Amino acid sequence: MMTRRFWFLFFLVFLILLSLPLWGSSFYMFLVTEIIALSLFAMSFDLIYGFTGMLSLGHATFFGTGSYIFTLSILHWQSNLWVSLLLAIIGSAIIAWVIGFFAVRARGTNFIVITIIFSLVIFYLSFYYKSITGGDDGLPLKVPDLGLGFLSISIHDNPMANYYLVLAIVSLCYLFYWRLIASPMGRLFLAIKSNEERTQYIGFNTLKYRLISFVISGAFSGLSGALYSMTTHYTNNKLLHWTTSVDVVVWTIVGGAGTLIGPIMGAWIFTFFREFISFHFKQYPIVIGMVLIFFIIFVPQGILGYLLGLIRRERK
Amino acid sequence: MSEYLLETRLLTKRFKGVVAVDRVDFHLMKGKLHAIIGPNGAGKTTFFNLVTGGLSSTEGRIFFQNEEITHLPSHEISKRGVARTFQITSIFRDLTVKGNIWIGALSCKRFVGPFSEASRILDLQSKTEEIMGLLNLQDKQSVVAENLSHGDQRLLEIGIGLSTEPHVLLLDEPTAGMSAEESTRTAERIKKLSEKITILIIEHDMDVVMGIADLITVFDQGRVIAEGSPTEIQENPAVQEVYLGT
Amino acid sequence: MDSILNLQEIHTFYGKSHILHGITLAVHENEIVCLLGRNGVGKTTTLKSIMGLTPANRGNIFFQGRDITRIQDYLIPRLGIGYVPQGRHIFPDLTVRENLKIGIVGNKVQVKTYEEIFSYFPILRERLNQLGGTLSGGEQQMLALARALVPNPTLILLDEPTEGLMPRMAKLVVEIIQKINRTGVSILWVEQKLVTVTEVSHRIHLISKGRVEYQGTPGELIQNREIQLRYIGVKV
Repeated sequence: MMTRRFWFLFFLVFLILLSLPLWGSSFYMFLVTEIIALSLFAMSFDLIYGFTGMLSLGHATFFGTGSYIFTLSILHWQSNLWVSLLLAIIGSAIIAWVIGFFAVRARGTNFIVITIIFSLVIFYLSFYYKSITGGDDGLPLKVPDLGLGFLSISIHDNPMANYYLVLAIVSLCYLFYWRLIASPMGRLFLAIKSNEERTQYIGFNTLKYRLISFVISGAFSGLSGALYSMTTHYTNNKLLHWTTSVDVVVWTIVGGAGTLIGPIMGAWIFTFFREFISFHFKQYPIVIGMVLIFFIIFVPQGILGYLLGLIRRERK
Repeated sequence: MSEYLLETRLLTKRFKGVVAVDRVDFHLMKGKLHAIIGPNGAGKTTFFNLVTGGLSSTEGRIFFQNEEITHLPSHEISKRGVARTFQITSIFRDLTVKGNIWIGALSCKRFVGPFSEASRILDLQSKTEEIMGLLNLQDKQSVVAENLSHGDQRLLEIGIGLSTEPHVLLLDEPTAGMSAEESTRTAERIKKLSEKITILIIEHDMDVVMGIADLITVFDQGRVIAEGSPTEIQENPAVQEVYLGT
Repeated sequence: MDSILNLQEIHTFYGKSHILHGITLAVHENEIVCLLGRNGVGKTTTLKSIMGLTPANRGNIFFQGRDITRIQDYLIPRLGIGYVPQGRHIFPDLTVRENLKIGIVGNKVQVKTYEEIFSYFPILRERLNQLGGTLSGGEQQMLALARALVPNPTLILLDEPTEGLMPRMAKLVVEIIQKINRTGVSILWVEQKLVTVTEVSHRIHLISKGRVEYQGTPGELIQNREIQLRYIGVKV
């Protein structure tokens, strides 16, 4: 993928994103901020699904948990933005470790079922402890100012600052994932996805590495939830709901699993779609469902997978 | 005892009512090309699975390089230097030939980290090149494993095993599905490899077995019924009876 | 004598694994023809290719003069070919009665009555309502044979029908197979042990590495110790 064409497109897109606040309306800037946060969620899901071969249908657990830890720590405990974000990451990582401990000992369908069960339990807990979580009413929050040494930048009242903060963090995460994929551990994830038994017979404890993949994915999914709530100034347990879990799966399959960028594309496409079609067509989830079925049957490699296939054939 | 690389004592595996492996005492000597043969249902593959940690034994003990490995999981046994291939080819189909071998080479590293760039790790690169050269696969290094011929896939599987730098190579029916000519070539390759590494092979192809094995163990109904050189085994009446039923 | 079954240069692959390298053989009416060879040579694959379970990639299979090479697997038994697979594969959670009834499904032919089945396999009369999984090995083998016999086949394919049976049971099974053959059913029998089939088969084929390497009557083969050792034993 390291072609000149790719780099050109990549920098073009980044330049557009970087300059958006200068020419985009505040509505679009808000929407794009949301999508960038969701892109991190998408990338994190791709790590376990597209790169390690584990399908989780409960990833909203980490997204929502990160959002809640971020929000609750600001509402009840302290008012340092960095600390809250950090707590969101650590908290999600711990939850991912606990769930992963059980989940990775299962394969295929059983793995999926375990992720669903934990997800449902946590969702219902959020209703049970409505006094803390606000249930589906949710909790509004006031985002603390960003402290950079002696500088203090308002995030809550400054959408542009918010935008650049989210962009910066997610870009760094993207770089991290990019390095991870190219590393020996990244190659090992791919081997596990390709043939887990064979990987064991080479001498690798595949449970350990699947757990590592799961925890990294969970931690960054939590961060994306925190960034999402930071942007929307709000959290509610819809972020823990199974429909959120399905969202990220749909983005990944349609965009193209195992490419990091494919799922990001999926997040963009479907968020825009939802934003503009839901107005005119209340039953838009049906359309999403049909699109998903179409892709699973005819284009299982997703949009990006399909395009990459074309490029490869063109080269020959 | 010390010259035995692999040893089993009274190794037994019972399934519901069936004794697949029955109190087997087996010894594999270092540097030898040792073959296991036997009619259908003799317990040969079950034996392999027990020894490589794929199945847990009912009774008995297994030793590798004088260390007891009886209850270790498969990845722990592999780490100690036991590499195996499967009767039905088990490779990384969506990775390239080079990618396949590279993962095997990676297993020798104590730490698999998320930070260095995989393709820049020099010693892994050179090891991969070396193994590909050994098996004459370097011209196909960028071919996705799925697209290789059957014979090359079988070879790649052996290559993955070799790249883990094992002390012993366990081959399960390496010539399965090959024509007579391909079997002969594969047999020659295996014989050449045996100069550098101890090999234990399950085979049904008698031309291959008699041609390359130093020592042959014959299994029947889960038990060892004979052991000896190819000539001895061919002359052994008990073995004839087991195969011919006369 | 007409040939009931004719295999011409059959090549079968499992994925990329080339198992049958050109099998050619014929079974004539009322014959018992045996395929012998060590394991891994393609005996079972030959039967599976005939039944369409692992269809032949090259070559042709003719049954009663009709080309059945590409016919779908579930239609082949309806043509009059019965199959008794290696390991019996009766349905353990169904009763003996239900196992036998399965032999009728989809068939429009005249099927054997229970009485006719019991005349071959008296032991099944007592076991009619028992679950298949509770039968002994020998009884399961009887059931598998009976199930294949129910739709009155013209040809039956047997894969190591005496494997794992006690000598007494094995002898009984062989006798029943002979009885079936005498009523006009042709038999193609895959076996590993020569001694099991020398008394009952009309012709024996020896298979090695996916090819028929030798063909002859039992009498001829018994004389030829060298060939026996070469293709069934351990001689090279």
